[in-house]
Amino acid sequence: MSASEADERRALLHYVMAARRAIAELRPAQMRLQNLPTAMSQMGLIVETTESAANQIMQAVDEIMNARDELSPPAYRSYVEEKCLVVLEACSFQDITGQRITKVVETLLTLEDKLAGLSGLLDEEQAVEPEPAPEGDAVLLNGPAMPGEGVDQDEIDKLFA
Amino acid sequence: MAVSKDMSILIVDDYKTMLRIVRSLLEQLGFRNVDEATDGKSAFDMIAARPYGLVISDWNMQPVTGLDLLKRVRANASTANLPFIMVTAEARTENVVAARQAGVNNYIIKPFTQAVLKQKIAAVLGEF
Repeated sequence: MSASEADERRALLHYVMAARRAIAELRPAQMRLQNLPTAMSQMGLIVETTESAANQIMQAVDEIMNARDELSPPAYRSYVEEKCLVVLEACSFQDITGQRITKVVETLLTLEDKLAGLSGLLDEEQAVEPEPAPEGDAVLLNGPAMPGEGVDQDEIDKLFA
Repeated sequence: MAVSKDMSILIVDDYKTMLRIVRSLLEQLGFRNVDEATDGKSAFDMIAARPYGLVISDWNMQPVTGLDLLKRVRANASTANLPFIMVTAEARTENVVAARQAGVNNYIIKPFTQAVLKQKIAAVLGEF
């Protein structure tokens, strides 16, 4: 084996070992079996919690509106105060969902950090084919626009004027 | 033309919270006959089964989206002229243009107020 071949093999060995280390640091099994399922559970609970809170608030508001013609003014005032407390209590969902979202963000930041280390080792342009782009009307399903993106109601109204 | 408060309205959204909000707003506006569907497919089945005066639909639903529902409604001779309002968080110009081309009568961006809902219904059906 020539000296240049030996250098090439050493460089290749270092590259493979670095890639293995980067992959190991990703802890793929832990990510797959623990971190990502936990994050998905947290997201599911966020949906449930916000739905439950919204229902409690809407229920209280519906009851307030429906009772306005059924109670005397003093009784209605007391009733409204009681229902306002229900609304306030339901708003505690923001604290709980905030904590859950923080956990999910932590998982994503960890994953991003580890993937950054791995992508530094790989030439992604030579990697597998790019993800297929959505086709047809699917390209229109982008979900809520980020601040500064999209059009507002006034601009839409002009299109329908 | 006067809008009848007895007119049947179908609201379509995959989020039950949103259905409840729209229903409450419509009931506060005096509309008494409000039906609900949670996806485009069941909505189309309901539209085919009974006459509605207005459809208020979300866009982003599976497996049949609000845009698909709109296209099916417009493609069916018996429902081609059914008033249809899209209520959605999809707020890009290309979305509005695609909905317009598909024949939507008006377009509301979430979140919205009762005043906006009332204004758009009036724009489509006439003052009430």
